[in-house]
Amino acid sequence: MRSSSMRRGLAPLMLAGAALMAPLAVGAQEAEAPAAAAPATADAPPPAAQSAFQVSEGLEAMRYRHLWIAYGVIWLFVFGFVWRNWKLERATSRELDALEARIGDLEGGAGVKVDG
Amino acid sequence: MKPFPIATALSAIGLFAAHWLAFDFVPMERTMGAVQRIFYFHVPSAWLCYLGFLMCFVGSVGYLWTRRSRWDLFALASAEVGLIFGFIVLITGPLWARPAWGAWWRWEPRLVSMALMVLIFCAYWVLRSYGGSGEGVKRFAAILGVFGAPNIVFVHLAVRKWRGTHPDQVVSRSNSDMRIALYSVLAILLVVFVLLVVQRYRIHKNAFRVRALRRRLSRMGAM
Amino acid sequence: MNAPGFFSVVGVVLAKDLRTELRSKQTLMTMAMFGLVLTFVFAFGFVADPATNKKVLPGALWASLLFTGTLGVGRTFAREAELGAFAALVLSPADRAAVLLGKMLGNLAMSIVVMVLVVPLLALMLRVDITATAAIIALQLLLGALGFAVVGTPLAVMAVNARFAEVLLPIVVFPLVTPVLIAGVKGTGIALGTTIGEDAWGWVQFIAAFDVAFGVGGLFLFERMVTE
Repeated sequence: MRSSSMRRGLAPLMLAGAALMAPLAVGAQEAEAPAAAAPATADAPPPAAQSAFQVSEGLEAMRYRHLWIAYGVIWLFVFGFVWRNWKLERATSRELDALEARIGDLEGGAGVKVDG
Repeated sequence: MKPFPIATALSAIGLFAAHWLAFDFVPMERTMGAVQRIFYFHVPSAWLCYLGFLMCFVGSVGYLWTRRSRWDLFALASAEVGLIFGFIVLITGPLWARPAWGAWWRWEPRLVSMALMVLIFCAYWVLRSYGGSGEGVKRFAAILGVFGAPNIVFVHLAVRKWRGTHPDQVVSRSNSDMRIALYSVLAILLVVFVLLVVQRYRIHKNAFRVRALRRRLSRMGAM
Repeated sequence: MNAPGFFSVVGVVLAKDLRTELRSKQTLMTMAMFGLVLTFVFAFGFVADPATNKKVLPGALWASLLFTGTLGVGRTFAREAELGAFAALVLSPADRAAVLLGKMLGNLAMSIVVMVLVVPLLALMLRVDITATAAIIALQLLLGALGFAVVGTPLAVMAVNARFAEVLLPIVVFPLVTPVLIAGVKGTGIALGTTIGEDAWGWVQFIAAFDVAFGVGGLFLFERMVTE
């Protein structure tokens, strides 16, 4: 009982951890590739001011890669959550039905005994 | 017949439509390119995360005042769904920021308050998952839900005072197609959000009743 | 029997706690010892050239306030819970908010004692001269300790009922005192001249606003929290 609830709790945590690792993995790749085309320094001006700068091929590739990772994460979270909820809801409602049936049987049996 | 499956089917179709809006309907943004398409899910997710937090606050206040478990379940369900959207925001945000700003993270009021909000939600979730299911834990969580909301305001103010405001008005800067797409995706995700809250609420209600019935059964067995 | 006045209850609770604490010194000694250990951890972890030490000091100060404070706050109602006196405290005709305020002030007093020990020691080990700005740093830490007590104490009351309370309490309290941490570290940095900023008093005001908001909120909610 306890261990199963622990596992249920840990699963999304691990999911979240894996998802958090994804950008790090991308970051490591970029670090390996020499002179990854990062626009300016860490304190770059806001996007509006950058319209003039040259878009290099590396940056363009990074844009697409990050777009796909981002939507991958969104799908993973939304559908993973929905799937888990669906399973949980089915399991709990089944358990509820079983318990209700057992209590009904016990109460019914007791009632019969009293009547007889 | 049943509203929930119909709404679920509709929201599934809606999610496909949302992807069409984000990937095909809107024009390519000039300065940020493809990565700007993250926005159509990122920004609504952030708003929904705030909504979840607000609902958790309302549910917590309701629970402290009435002590009815439905308020507590409402607060718990909203916090959980808000947390999911918060994770989405915190992961997609840096993915956008890296090509757009050249950095994964910035110490900016909106980023920090979102991160803190997710942290508080996480604490709330850990408390509910591992702290037990008694009355006292529910009240503990309710206090956290009530204290959390004004806290975010303070965090926001603190970081703003510290770093200055960031003049990044994304929504007002975008053209009308972009705005249509953004608000449409928001509406679709809002439906998904509500369905998820309803579903989580039902799961917790079932679990609550299962526990009650188990207690009753063990009492009957003891007789 | 008439219910005693608000401030007399605050005084009674505070005096009772301080008296028992002075007699046993359990909490105070553990907090002080932990503060001492933390000082060495920070000193070994961060000590470098004088300029860097000066930059590191605010963070080390505020981190030790938070860490030692957690120990104290976690013990707030431990004695009552052990002796089964918590229900008596709640059921007494005394105003519950007054009881909470007494407890908050007790925690604040404990933090002050520990910080009086830790701050000079940290400054000494990191070799930063804080005598010129001692007053404003003391004020900041005082208000910060109050903010921590004000948020931590009501949560500690509720933690009595939870499993793993001693682990859960810091997880819950630390995110909630982040505004104090930000304001404190920045304010102390400005006072020491390592952080660029207009004035340290703005941050003092910020922490004070936090204290008032959460103090009043906590006292107001406490009645709702403990009544069955």
